[in-house]
Amino acid sequence: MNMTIEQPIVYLVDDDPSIRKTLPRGLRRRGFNVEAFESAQEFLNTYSPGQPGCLVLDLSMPGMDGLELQQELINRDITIPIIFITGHGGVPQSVQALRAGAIDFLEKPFMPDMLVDRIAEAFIQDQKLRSERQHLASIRKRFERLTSREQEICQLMLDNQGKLSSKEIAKILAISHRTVEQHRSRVLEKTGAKSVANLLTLASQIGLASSNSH
Amino acid sequence: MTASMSLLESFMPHGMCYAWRPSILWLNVISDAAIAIAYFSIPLALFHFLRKRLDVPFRGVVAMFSVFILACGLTHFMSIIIVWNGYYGIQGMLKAVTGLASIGTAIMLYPVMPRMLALRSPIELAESNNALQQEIEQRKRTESQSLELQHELAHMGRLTTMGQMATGLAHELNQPLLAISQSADTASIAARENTSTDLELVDCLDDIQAQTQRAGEIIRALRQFMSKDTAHRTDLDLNALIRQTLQLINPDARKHSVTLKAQLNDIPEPNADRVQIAQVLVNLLRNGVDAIASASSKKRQVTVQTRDDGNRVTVTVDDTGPGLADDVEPFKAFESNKADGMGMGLSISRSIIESHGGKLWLEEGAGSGARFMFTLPLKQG
Repeated sequence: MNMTIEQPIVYLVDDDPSIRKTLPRGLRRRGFNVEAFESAQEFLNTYSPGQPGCLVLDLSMPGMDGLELQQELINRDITIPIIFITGHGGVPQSVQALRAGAIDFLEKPFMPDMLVDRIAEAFIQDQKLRSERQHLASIRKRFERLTSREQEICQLMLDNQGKLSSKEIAKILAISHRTVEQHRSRVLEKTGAKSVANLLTLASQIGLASSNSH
Repeated sequence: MTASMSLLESFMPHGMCYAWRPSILWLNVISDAAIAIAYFSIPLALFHFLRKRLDVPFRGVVAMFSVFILACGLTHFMSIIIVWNGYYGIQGMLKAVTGLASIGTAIMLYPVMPRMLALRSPIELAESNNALQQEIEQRKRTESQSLELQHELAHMGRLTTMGQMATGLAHELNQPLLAISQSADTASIAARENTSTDLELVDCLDDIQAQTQRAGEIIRALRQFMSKDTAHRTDLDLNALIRQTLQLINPDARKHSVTLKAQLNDIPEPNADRVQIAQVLVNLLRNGVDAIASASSKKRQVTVQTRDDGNRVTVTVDDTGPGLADDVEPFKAFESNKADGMGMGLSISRSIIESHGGKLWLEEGAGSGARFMFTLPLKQG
């Protein structure tokens, strides 16, 4: 697989120019890549979801505020981890933000070290989410390599929790037992599954089969 | 001559027609007498009524009706006379007079009929009277509520202006504090990277960082103290509160010939502090009135609207004033457009709304005047 290792970026969205000036300066000194935005909309216009990183987000801004941006990102299926920063206490908002998956909710002025810790945490989470996504994408790719006949047989294996024998499958499809055996082993080989049970697990991860029996 | 003579001429008495049989004669005489007495007494009663009730409409019709009844009474009286004396000429004359009075009354009824139909019945009058009474009570209630609100606002103004200012300023102060904190941090890193740095400089920068955090803690403590106010939050009838607030502003608005208009839609009740929200409303409305007062706008109107936006309610306050200059930051504390303004109103209002989880902003490009809007979130589920 051809993958360039991209440096994660800290995205800052805050309507206060003094924050946009000083906060990235400190983070850059500490070796972070930082991009600052004046508004939620400006961030949305620029950000490309393939880019690893995290979002340091001001809660109250004119126009789209922090919580609304968080919701918009969720709607767009963008999983960039968010650290909220706020000049207000805002207990109800912090509860809402954390419930929707924010890393933390920091009250201004916070210790710079605290933000750095949270950013490190966010990067780890982002990495985890990304590798999960990549893992799923690679499984999906392997399943897509199956021929249509193989797909048919794979589906029959999945549908019955792997309990159908080759003979039974052969009977259903009205083909020879030997052919089914051949297809079966090719399905396992192509998907990288070590066993039928493993095939079931992989398929359920990408939503091809439910891991629970119906 | 002969005609007038024949009027008084006495013919055969009518009793002859009854063959002077007492039963039929007295039946007719007594019945005529009863009718005549009744017909004489009705106009008397009507005249008495008219004299006492000068406000009664259609007096002409009532008077004509009285004359016609009186005339009818006379004809019946005459019917008794002619039983014994045959003055049929006089009886005819009386009938002619009665006929004329009857026709006059009948004709007169038609033109006044529409007006009579339009008369309110006593039941209708009682109903509208009732409605009026209810409205008076409603107005009295709103008035006393807004008076009460005025007292509460004044009370709160005295007690917590400082506290409110502090809360409003907390946000403003936290921004520069964060900027200081971040800058001290950057400077400290830079100083440590340089081996020839005076150690006292590093020490100073660390002190700046520590003291900045301390200032932040003080503000946090203050805000926690102020946030005890959430105890005053209830499900708030925002439309009613707006009506009461309008009453408070109305004298001021009238002084500057500004009309206050409310377009209040049905909205759910947000959970909010009544007096604090009143403070925001008073501030926005008064700003609107002041903006028009200081200008020579032709249309002088401040409009307040409410709207249900699903998960929140939105309040809009429009004025027809000159709008805000481009270089003014209305929400910045201690910055004011007004000669005698402290520049605290909008800053405090915004912090009140934000402490409720809502937003307050100046809507751009909304015609010539200024349009301020704020939202209050609704409880989910």
